[in-house]
Amino acid sequence: MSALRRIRAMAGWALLRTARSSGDLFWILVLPVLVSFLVANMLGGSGQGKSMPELMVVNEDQTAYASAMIEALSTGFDVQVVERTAAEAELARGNALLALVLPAAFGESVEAGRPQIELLHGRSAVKREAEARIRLAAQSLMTGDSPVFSDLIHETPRGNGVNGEFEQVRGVFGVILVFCLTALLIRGAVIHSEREKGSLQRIISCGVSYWEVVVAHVMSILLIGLLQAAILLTVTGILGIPWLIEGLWPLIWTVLGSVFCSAGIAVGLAGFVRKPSALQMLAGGLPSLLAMLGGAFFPLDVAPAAVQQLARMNPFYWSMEALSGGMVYRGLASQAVPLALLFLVGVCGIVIGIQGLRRTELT
Amino acid sequence: MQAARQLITIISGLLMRLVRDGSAIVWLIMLPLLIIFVLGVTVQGLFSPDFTPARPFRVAITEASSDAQQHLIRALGSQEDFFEIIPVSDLDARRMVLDREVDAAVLVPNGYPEEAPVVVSEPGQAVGSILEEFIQTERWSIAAVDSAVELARMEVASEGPNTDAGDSPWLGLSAFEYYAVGLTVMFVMFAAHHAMVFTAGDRESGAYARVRAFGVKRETYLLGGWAAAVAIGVAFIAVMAGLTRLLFGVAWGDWLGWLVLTAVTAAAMASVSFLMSSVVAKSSTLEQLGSTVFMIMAMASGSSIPLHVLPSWLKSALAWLPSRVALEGYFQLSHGAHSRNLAPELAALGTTSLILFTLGWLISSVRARGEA
Repeated sequence: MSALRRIRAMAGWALLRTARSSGDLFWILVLPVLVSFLVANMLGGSGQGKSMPELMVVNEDQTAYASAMIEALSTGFDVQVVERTAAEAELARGNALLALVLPAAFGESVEAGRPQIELLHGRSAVKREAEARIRLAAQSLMTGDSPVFSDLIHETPRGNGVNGEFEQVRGVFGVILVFCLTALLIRGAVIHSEREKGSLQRIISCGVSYWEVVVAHVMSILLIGLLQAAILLTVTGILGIPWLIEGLWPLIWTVLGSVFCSAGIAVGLAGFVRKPSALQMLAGGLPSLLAMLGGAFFPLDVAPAAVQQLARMNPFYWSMEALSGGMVYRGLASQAVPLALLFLVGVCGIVIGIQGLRRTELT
Repeated sequence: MQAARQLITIISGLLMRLVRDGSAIVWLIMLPLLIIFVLGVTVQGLFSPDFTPARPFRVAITEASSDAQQHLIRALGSQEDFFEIIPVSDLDARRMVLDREVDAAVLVPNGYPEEAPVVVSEPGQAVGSILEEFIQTERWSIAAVDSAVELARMEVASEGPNTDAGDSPWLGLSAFEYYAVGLTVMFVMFAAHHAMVFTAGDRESGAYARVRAFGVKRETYLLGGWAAAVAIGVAFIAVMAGLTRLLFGVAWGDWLGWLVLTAVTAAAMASVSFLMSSVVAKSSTLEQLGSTVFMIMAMASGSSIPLHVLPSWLKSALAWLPSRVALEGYFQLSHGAHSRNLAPELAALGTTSLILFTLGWLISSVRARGEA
């Protein structure tokens, strides 16, 4: 049997063993799909048709002017007409931030050319935009022009309308990244578990060289990562995640780069962390932390400068950059740098890991 | 008397197993603390009404040809902490965003302010929504610039707990305060679940049979497992409250309210876990089921993903989740509420505990029929 066939057999067997383990399948596929589904529903529609801000209105005037004012406000607010006591109670309890009072002399003040209104608010200051809308609505009573509160138009850098699809893709991709690195770190610990059980020694005593075992181990990590990503993307795609909004290639490049990088990290850590339990512990926390600090779950432009700088050393940051580069910027041209860095980290991780694993052979 | 002694032995035995498990301690204590620190630092901007970006956003904007356009450029330019304005042509503005030379572009049409401007930016980034707030305010202000409207502002004093949020007690908290509570409530579920996984493992290893052979009743063992889960939950919340206060200065509020809420929260989480253990006997499956249910509960109730960003339908649809009720109780305490203000939360969590525990007990009893 040639070395290549032995490597293939060992990597294939590792894959088969994972597929037969209900526990592994649960962590690698079932849980990520469930979490992705939840995240997709949370993020879904975030950019689809903004709802109008709510406004409580107390009508103490009851004239035609007051009715006209409420009608004008309805074009810019979700208006709810309430009693003054109810409005004050809601504000006092903090259930609302703002209430508008049309006082008893409101109609007269409009006729006199100076509409008088009152704004009740809680501890928070009144939002300037809300106040500007109210002023415009009141002014419309004087001018006779009904106010038009049209939304801004949001476009992606490529000129497409923003409809929440990319936010959904980005959020679910972050989840997949976390579960991919988790699975690969746990897979990386297997070689040490086998050493502890003695099965590794038995394989070597059968004439298989240690480097073949290491290569098969690295191959199995890569294969599991790629298969996991492919299955998760397919299943979540069937469930409605619009992965292909900008075609297949931006996604393929991003996934290849990210999985290769994650595999590199897993092999690199497996080369130096020899206790399976320690690797499993890393698998429990490291991916989530990398995702948070890499901007996979929250926009990094709200983070402090130091966190933004730190993110540049984080492979998850470059995975997200590859995704946005491919889908909302200049495609492959924007992906080139992030992908190069991801592959570089992956290669370094694999080289370092293999060196570490070779060292463990001697000890 | 003997049963009580046996109960205490079972509870302390399960507690000690967790304490001696070094990896569980790291997983339950170190990891949430690390995450609180990371999130507290990273997303503070999302929680603060006085947010200013680390550096002004670079914004390319259409060169002005009308007074209204010039007014908008001046208004945005005056917000030096937020924006660095670069006037360019429409075409250049789009190209600069595409080449990532700027963070966003604003294309102001000739019909402005009646016609809506276009904001070009990467979806999901904060710059787009911050620009929107500024531009829309300016837009309506320009339209009402000659307004004779007399507007009087009156602040309504808050009542009850020191909160500006009422039914939304998560508002007004810092990221550290939010996540200290959020992750404590999330991880207390995992902590309590450890006890039930241990008892399931005892059944598989034969330890349960041996304990029973020594005269311990099935009921005592069941109750011991549940009580150990509660004890672990209380101890966990106490440790997290102490550490987050020490490390991040998080105030957990009135100590009496905190104590009662902690006890019922731990009981509710232990009861969720107890019900699961009555249905699933295999320890590995029970662990996986717990991880799934608790992770989803944590996400849907706002422990890991802030309630500020959850869709309103999800917030109202899942407000009954015990983890959400506990979360809101702790948030109210952080805002200065007293134990008497927490009656609805305490009642909800207490009832949940009772129902789930009874259900779990009944299922366990039915499944154990025929057991000697």
